[in-house]
Amino acid sequence: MTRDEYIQEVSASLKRLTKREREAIRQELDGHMEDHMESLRELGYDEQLAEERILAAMGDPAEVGRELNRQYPFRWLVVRWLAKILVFWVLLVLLALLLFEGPVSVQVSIQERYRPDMSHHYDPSGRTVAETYPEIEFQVGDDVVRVLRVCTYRSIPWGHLMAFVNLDSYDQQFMGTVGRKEMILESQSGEQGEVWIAGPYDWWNAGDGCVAIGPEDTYVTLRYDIYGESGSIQIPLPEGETP
Amino acid sequence: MAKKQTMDHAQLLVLSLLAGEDMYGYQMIVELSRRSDHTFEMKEGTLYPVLHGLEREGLVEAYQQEAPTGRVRKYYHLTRRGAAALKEEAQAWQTYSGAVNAVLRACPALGLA
Repeated sequence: MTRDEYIQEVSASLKRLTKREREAIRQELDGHMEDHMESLRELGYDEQLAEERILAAMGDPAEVGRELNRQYPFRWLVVRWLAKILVFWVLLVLLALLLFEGPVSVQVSIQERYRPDMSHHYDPSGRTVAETYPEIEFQVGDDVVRVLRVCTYRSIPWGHLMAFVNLDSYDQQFMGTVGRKEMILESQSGEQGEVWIAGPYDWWNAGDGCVAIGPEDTYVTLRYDIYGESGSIQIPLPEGETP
Repeated sequence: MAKKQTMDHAQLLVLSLLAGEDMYGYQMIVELSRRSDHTFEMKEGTLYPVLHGLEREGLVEAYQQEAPTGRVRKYYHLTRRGAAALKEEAQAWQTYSGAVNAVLRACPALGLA
């Protein structure tokens, strides 16, 4: 056993002590052994032998530790221990909320604003006839809604001619998040389909919808009634058939 | 019967050592051994539980002081309460040991009288 090992073994029993108290004891015991060492050096002892004698004179480290521990009352250590656990969990929950909820929505909102990622969007469930990427956007509340893509397609299996739109949304406030939005996509003949844009913590603030159209239709209408604002936007359909 | 001894011997001895001057741990061990003519050679590590117990009870107080070699030592100082406790306990011990001695002296087989 070395002096350090002796002190470590004493420390192992000091369960009621704070870190600072433990450190003080460590220093005191080390100082004691150093004092003893000095006096043995003066007597001409060789280091190795001196250390053995000192450790033998110190007595059983487990007993010393146990006795030292008994001199310190339980006091607030238990309360502090509980408080630590509580604080730890509160912080963990806050951290989890911050990391995994808010910022993700904020980040998605920012990301969609500057670089809409079409891989987050669905394709129409049919054979695409024509598509365009119009630069249409409008404001609802604090949020901006964009029409990223408009397709005409033949539905599977019936081959009906349909219009399909991909939308997304971002918050105008840089650190804001986007609310969920439900809208109606209407054809020129009055057919209606549902469109909704995912809200916070959801799927990339993306949305889409489709409606049956006639072969002569040139636009579809997006109607909304959100946050007490209602309005409609005409979205021109792509022309021509792509093979 | 005199007041019951409430302090163990190690505590009493440590208090009596500190009555003269402030000391650090190793010094106390050496001094105790010298004054008792090597009768009291306690395990050195067990001195510290005694000291920390006395400190908690307010009978001694500790302070740091730098030695000429530059090393910082923890010195112990007898407080006024400690001095009062020492006086009281020493008296109790005197009474007790006196009584033991009186009984032993009265024992003819030992021939102490």
